[in-house]
Amino acid sequence: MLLLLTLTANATKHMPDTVYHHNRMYIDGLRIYSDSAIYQGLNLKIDMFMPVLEVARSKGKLQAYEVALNLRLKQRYYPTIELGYAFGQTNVSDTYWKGQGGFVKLGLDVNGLRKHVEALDALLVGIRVGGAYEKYDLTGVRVAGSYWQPASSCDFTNQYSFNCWGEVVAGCQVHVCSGLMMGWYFRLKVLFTRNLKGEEVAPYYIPGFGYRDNTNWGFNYYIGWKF
Amino acid sequence: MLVGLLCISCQPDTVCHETRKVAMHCHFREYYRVPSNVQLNVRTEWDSITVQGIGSDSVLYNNTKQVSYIALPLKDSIDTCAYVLTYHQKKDTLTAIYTNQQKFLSIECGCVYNHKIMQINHTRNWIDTVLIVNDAVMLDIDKNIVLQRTNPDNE
Repeated sequence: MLLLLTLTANATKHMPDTVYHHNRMYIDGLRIYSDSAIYQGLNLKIDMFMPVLEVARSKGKLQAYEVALNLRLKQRYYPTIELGYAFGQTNVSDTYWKGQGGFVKLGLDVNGLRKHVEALDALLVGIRVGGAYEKYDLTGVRVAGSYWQPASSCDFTNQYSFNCWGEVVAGCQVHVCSGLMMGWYFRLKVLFTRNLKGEEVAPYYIPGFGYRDNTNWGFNYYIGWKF
Repeated sequence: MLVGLLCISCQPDTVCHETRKVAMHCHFREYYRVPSNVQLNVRTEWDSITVQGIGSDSVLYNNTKQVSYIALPLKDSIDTCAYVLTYHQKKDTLTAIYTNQQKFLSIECGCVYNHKIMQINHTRNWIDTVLIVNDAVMLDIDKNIVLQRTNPDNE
């Protein structure tokens, strides 16, 4: 559906207005850089899908937000930084989890479409390295009963955790009009920090990565602006 | 529809797949002599053993036959725990002094208490010596102490 929406947006483009000002070319108010220029603009993108995805996955217990910034270099390469924040609280197996944290991802996308200075659309394949820092509480964690005592529970409060992971991403971005962009990403994620240090209490959820597991996946649908 | 599929497919597993019982694993070594052999043989299985915690009404092992080790759970709330071990109608008391530490496994499996053995005291009706092989009482550790007995007459 999102793919169709993106394609529809692409199909409904109007005829652009081309203006020259101080020897610079502008189409629909957007500066078009020379073919040889390394820097070819900046895109700011806000993820519209991740908040929906996380609310759906957690049945309303988790919220996550993400923005992305990428540069367009030589019409081909898109160095990218993505920033986000997630928080939530939920009951899992009688344990109450409450946490919040931020994440950052750095990476590079490569445009697979034919290079052209006026072509702002891109079919992207790339990689990311992500890191998240979070604070969380786990209360009511079960302690199994034994020969000496019945089952009980214990609490782990004010826990902090840093996690790192890698992603392979594939997606697209389409220029709709006047700098308005749309696009999506599909992501496969692999957690690097699988082994816990010492007495560390594993987080239930990792901002930007998802539920703690060796691998995970994600989907983003962006609306953005080109500068 | 897509969101619905995500709801179905992305809930994390909430079933615990690990064992969660932490206990002090106690092995047995008995040196005995058979008439035809001058040297002592070694037996590593109790032919029968009865174990009951002091302060508990229930019996942990009740005249159990042919066991190579016994698993003795330690109390999580205090740092001392004692058992009465009955072997060939002789009773000995085994007292463990230890420290406790919480260990988180996972949300599904909860947490367990690990222990570090500081000292083992015992009476000497049938146990001659107690060796501490590994003082860490935790999951995946299958040998903590060895109860040794010398029985030259093979009673």
